[in-house]
Amino acid sequence: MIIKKLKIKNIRSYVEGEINFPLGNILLSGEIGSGKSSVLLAIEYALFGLQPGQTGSALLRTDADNGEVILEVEISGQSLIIERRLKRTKTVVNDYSSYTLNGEKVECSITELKSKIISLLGYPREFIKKNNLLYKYTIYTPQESMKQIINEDADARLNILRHIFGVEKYKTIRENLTILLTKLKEESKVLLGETSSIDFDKNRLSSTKSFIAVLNEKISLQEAEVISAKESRKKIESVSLDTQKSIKEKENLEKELEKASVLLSLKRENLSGISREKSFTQKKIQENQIEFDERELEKLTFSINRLTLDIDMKSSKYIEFTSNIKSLDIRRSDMLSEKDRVFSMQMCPTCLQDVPAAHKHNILNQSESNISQINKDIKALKDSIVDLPSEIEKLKSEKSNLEKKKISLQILKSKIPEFENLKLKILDIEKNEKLLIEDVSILEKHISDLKQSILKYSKFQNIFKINQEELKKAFDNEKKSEISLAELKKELELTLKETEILQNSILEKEERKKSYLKSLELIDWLSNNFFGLIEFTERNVMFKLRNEFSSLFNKWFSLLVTDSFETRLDENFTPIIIQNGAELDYSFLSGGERTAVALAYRLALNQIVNSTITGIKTKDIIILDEPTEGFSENQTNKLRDIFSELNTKQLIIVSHEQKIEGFVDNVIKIKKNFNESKIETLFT
Amino acid sequence: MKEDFQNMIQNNMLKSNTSIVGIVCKDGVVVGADRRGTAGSIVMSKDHIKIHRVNDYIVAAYTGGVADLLLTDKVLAAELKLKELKTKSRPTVKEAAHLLGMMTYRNIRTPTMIPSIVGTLIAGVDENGKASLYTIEPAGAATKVEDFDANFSSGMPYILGLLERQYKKDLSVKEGVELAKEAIKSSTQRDVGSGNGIDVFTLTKDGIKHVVAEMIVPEYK
Repeated sequence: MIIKKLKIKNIRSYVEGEINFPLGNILLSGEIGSGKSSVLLAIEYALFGLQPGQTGSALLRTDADNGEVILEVEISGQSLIIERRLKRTKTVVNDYSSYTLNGEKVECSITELKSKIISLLGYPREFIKKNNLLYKYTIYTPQESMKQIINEDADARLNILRHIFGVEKYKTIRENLTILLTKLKEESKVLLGETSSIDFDKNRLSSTKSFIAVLNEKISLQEAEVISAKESRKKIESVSLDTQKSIKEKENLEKELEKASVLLSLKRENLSGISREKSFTQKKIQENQIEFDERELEKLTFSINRLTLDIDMKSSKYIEFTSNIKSLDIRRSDMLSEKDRVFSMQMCPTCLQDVPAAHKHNILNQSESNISQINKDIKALKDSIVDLPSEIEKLKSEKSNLEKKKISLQILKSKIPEFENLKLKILDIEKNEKLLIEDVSILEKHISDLKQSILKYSKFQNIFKINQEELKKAFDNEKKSEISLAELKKELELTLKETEILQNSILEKEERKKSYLKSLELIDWLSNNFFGLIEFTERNVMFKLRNEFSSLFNKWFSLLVTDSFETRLDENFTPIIIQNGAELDYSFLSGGERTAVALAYRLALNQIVNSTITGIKTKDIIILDEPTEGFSENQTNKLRDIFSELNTKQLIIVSHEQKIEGFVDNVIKIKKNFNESKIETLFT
Repeated sequence: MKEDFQNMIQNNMLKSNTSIVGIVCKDGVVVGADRRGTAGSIVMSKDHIKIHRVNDYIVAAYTGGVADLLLTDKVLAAELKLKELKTKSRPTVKEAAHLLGMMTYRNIRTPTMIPSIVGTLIAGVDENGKASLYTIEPAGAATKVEDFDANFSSGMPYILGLLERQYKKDLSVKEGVELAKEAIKSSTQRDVGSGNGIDVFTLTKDGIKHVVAEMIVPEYK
C-alpha cells in the first residue's frame, strides 16, 4: 500500500487540509501540537474507522458538526479512495462511508468497508472482527503506544504477539481441542449408553418376527372367513333383491287392484242406475200398453162422417121446414091482416073507390081459403118435422159418442211414438246393461286374478322380513369378520412398524457403536497425538519467530545505540538487554535507550510480520510517530542509517526534530495558527 | 249459459295453482310439473308429484282438484286396462286421450254440487315406439299437441310466454328437458300457486324415464 493523498475537513485542529504523499521518506514536520499526529490519526480513521475506545469527538473538530476524511491509496496497482464522514448529533458518529476502487464508487456500511479494506490489504480475515493490531504494531504506532508493548506483562505481550503473528490459532486449537475432547467424551458416554440395549433389541426383533408369522397365518384364515361371509351375504342379498322385486310387483298389482276396484264400483253404480232406469221404463211401458186398431178409427171416422151428413141433412130439412112454417105463418098473419084491413077498408087506396062488400067477401073468402090452406100446410109441415129435432139430437148424441171414441183412439195413436221410443230406450238400456255386465264381469275376473296374484305374492312380505333379518345377521358377521381382519392387519402393521423401528434402531445402534469406537479412537488420537503435535508446532513456530525476531531486534537496536549492548528476546518475547555480561532492567535504561528498544522492537516486529504473513499489502509503508523521543544527537543521526536500511517505498515520519529534515526525501510542514492546523509547504 | 260455463272453467282452472308443461321433441316427448299442492292461498303440500304414471307407457300431468284428478287417474288406468282385456290389444295413446276426453266431457256435464274440473296433458309411447302428446281441456276436448302446451294450469301464462320465445322445432329430448326445467322455474318464480319442486319425465322409444326430481329449497341469507 502507498498513500497518495489525504483530504481532511474539520478533523481535530484542521478545518480543511489536503496532503499529497509522494514516494520515499516523508517527514511531517512541525511544532509539538501543530497537528502532525492528527494526520496519522486521520489516515488510520480512513482505513479502519473509529477504534475501540476511540470516540468520534476525539477526531471531529470541536466547533464543527461535520467532518470528513478522504484517503487515496494505491494497493497492488489498484487505486482506492476511501471516504468517511463524521456527524455530531448527541454524540459524534460515523455518518457516511464509501470506497472507490478503480473509479467505481460503492457506498457501504462501516463493517462492509472494513471488510473490503482488510481484504484489499491482504490481512487475515479474522482481523475484520479484531482490533487492527497488525496495522498498529507494524505500520503505525501512535507515539504514546510505542513503548506499551514493552511495558506490558509477559503474558499480555505474548498474547498480543500471538495475535499479530496469527500464532494464537494454536492456542485456539488447543482450547478448542480441549472442548472437543470433553464433548467427544460426553458423546462417547451417551453412545455407550445408547448402544447398551442392542442385544435386548435383537432378542425383541426375533420374537416380533415370530409373532408376525403367526399374525400372517391368522390373517390368511380371517381373509378366508371374510370372503365366505361376503359370499353368504351376497347370496342373501340376491334373494332379498328378488323378494323385493316380487314385493314391488305386489304393490303394483295392489295399485292396479285399487284402480280396477274403483272402476268396478263405478260400473256397478252405473249398472244399478241403468237397472233402475230399465225397470222404470218397463213400468212405464206396461202402464201405457196401447190396444189401438186403425180400422176401428177409420170405421169410426166413417160413421161420424155419415152421422154428420145425416144430422146436416136433417137439420137442413128441419130448418127448411121451420122456415117454411115461419113463412107460411107470416103469410097467414099477412093474410089475416089483409083480411082485417080489407074487411075494414072502405075505400080502395089505389083507386080511391069504395070497396064493395062482395069484393070484400070475395077477398075475405079467398083469404079464408088461403089461410085455411096455409094452416093445412103448416100443420102438414109441423107434422112432418115434429120428430126431426129428436132425431137430430139422437144423431148428435150418437156422433158425440163416436167422436169421443175417436179422440180416445187418436190419443192412443199419438202415444204410439213415445211408446216406441220407450221400447227403443229399453233396448238401449239393455244393450248398455249388457255391456256393463260384461265390463263388470271382466273387471271382477281381472280383480279376482289380481287378488290371486297378490295372494301369491303376499308370502314374499314375510320372506322379505326373514331375508332382512338374515341379511342383517350376514352383514353383522361380515362386519365382525372384517373388523377382526382389520384388527389383525392393524396389529400386523403395527408389529411391522415396530419391527422396522427395531431394525432401524439396531442398525442405528450398530452405527452408533461404530461411532463410539471411532470416537474412542479419535479421542485417543487427539489426546495422545494431535494435542502434542499442536504444542510442538506452536513451540517450533514461536521458537523460529522468536529467533528471527530476536535477530532483527538485535540488528535494529545495535544500529540505534552507541554502547555495546547485547540483546535477545526471552521465551515471552521480552527484550533482554545485556551490558557487560549483566542483564539490564528496562526501567533502568535511559529515555533514549527505551525509545531505541521500542523502535527496534517495532521495526523488528514490522519485518517479521511482513515476512511471516504472505500476501500482506502493507509491506511498502511504515509510519513512525516521534521516533526520536529522548534520543541523543548521536542517536538521532543514526536514524539516517535506519531509514536507509529500512528501504521501504514510503516511510512517513512524524517528528518535530529539525535534524531529521536532512534525512528524508520530502518534508511536509505543518503549522498551527489560532487553533487551526494548516499544511504549509512540501519540500523535496 | 255457454259463457257461464266458460267463466266457470276459467275461474276454476286459473286458480288451480299448478304448473304443467308438455314439449314435443323430435325423438320423444317431455312432460314437466311443479310440486306445490295448495288449498286456496295455503300451501298444503310441498312434495306433491303431479305427473302420474297411468300405466307402463302413458303418463298424465293433471291440473285441477286433487280428488277429481286422482279419481280420474285411477278410472283412466282401469278403463285402459279393461279395454286391453276386452280387445286383447294395447290401447293407443290417441285412444287413451280420447277416452280421457270423453270422461272429462261427461264428468263436467254431470249435474252436481261440485263439478269435476280436470285439465290434463297426456303423453305416451305407442307400440311402434312413437311418442305423442295430447291436451285434454277441462271441457273435454282432446287435442293432439304438435309443439308445446301447458293446458289450463295457473302457471300457463308464464310457461307459454317463455316457450313462445325459446321453443324450436326438432328439439332433442335432452334440450327439451332443459327447456321444461326452465319453463317450470319461470312459473315457480312468478305464479304463487307453483313451486317447491320440479319433476320432468321423458317419453321415448326407450320408455318412460323420471329424469328430473328436484326440490326447490329456500336459502335464507
